Amino acid sequence: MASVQFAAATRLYPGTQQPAVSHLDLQIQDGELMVLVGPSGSGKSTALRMVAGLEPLDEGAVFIGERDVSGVRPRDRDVAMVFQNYALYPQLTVAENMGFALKQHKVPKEERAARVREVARVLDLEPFLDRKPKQLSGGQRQRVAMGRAIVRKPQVYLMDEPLSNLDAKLRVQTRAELAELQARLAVTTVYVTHDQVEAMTMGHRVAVLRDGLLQQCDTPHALYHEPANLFVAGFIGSPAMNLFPCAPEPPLRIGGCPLDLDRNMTSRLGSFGGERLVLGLRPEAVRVGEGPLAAHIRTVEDLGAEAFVHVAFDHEGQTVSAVSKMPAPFKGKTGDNIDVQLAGAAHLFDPAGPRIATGTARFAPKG
Amino acid sequence: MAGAAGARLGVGERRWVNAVLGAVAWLATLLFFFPVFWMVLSSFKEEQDANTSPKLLFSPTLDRYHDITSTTSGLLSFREAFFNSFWVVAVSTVVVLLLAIPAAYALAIRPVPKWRDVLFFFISTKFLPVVAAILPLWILARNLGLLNTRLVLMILYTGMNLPLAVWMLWSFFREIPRELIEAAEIDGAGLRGQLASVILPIALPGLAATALLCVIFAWNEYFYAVQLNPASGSTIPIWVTTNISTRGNFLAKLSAASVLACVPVVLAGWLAQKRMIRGLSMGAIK
Repeated sequence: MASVQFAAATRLYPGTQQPAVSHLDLQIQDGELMVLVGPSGSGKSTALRMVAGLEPLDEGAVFIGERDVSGVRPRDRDVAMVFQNYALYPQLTVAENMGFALKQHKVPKEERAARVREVARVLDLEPFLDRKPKQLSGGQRQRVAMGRAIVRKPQVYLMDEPLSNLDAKLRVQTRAELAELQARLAVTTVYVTHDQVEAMTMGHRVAVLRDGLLQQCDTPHALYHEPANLFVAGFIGSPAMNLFPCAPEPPLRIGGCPLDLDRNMTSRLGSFGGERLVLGLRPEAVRVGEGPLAAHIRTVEDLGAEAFVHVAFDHEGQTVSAVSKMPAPFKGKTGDNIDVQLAGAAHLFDPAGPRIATGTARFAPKG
Repeated sequence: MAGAAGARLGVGERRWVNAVLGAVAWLATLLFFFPVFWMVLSSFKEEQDANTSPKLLFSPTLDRYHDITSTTSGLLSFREAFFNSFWVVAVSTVVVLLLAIPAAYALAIRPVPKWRDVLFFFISTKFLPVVAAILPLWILARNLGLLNTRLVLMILYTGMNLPLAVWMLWSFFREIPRELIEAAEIDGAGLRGQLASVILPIALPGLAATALLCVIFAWNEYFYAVQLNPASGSTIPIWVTTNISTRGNFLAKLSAASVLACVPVVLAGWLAQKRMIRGLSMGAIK
């Protein structure tokens, strides 16, 4: 087992102007499960492939443990990878698939068979060892792909969206099993996903990438409660954070209603020199009920235990939408006129830069 | 469920249109198949029956087969010609595959710079009509002492089939999911391991189809053989023509010789049929 380190790692695909990954600096601790998350084209898969050795570096270096592996062939890096489409060898049985890497590394047949059986037992694959991949369900194939990685006992696991081909229910179940397995094996894992729920639930830390640039790397809790910038704020969290562009002069207003900010936010706002800022409120900080802001309900998404209420109101001369997370049962329905109150943390962002402040914001009492 | 009548009608299709199209297809098939059928039929006839007005009812005999395999009308016996063909076809096909597999790998899986140009170059070697190159080839073969040897045909058939094999294998290799090769790379397989454990087993139907076409083309090749190798090293197509004689009837004998010449290729095709069809359609449906 070993740590993984990106040191100003850069990858520029031939014929493109913008690097797919640009000067990435990231330290992944020994035994840590690091999730790389971002939208399509953010460079997360490229970063993973750089660790695997499937993508060369144009600048910088990648270390596994103390060793600079930038010029080392994939097969000499001692990493195992789980691919999105599993990449199981179709002509080989499950047992042969799982033992393939051991065979390549000239592990004796008996030891190979024993290790494959042991991993198959852990992953409930024992009844399928003699089957070919095409005779397996999606979930079983996924487990074989995991087994193929585990059986090698590598220094690092690399996982490229390994759950994205599973149906929703199986994905949630496998997600938990995978996190548990990783904790038990304590092997350094780099996990790529575009699904932020997966990132938040599985990652010890999560690195958010956008256009090849690292936006923030922190614990899921910190990403949610202290997003580094507007992109992270909007990307992490479901439903997404409500964002309202505002003029930076106090008092800030939402839908014409003035806000009372806490002392920290007020002082940061005072030293902010930009022309516009963005006020961010998580859905749980927006409450439908008694409040000064008049709005109407656009839709209600009732999830049973809670309801996402989409409301609309006028803000700076335009109709804007906001989502409120309300406990069930929620009685309102589409078209109802309601009032909105704030309760919870608020964030101020520079639209083109970092977060300015986080604190509490409430509507100022009338009169 | 054969034939238009039993076939399921697609949405908006008319039964009578399908019936007419089916009939046309059957007619065309029979038209193409009839000469082959007639050749096989003639090979079991006496010479006078084969040469008189067509008749379907006759007492079949294997004498013509006996005649052509036991007597030698040209320079070579059937046995010698058969083994000449066998060696020329086997060696050229194996060499073609040994050269085409790495070439197709370099073009499909790890594309070298200008791989399109390289691929075009391979097929461009087929642009020159064989007849235009035969004189220099003949002179070269004579100077190298290769006239009338099996070796000259082995070399030429290798050159003749190589572009086709590279193109075919290139298209089959391209269909192999990239992740499989990457997975093998990470799992510790070197180039040989990747080829032996992943690429070739997956491309096996394509490989079978390519090999079969090389066998067919080499087995049936006549022009090079007749120009460069008409004597001791000559092949089955040349031997077939030795059964044409200027004296007496020869149609039944020639038919029998032609049937014998067809048998190995038909047999190889029949054996490889299942794999070959999968191979030929491998790129078509994904």
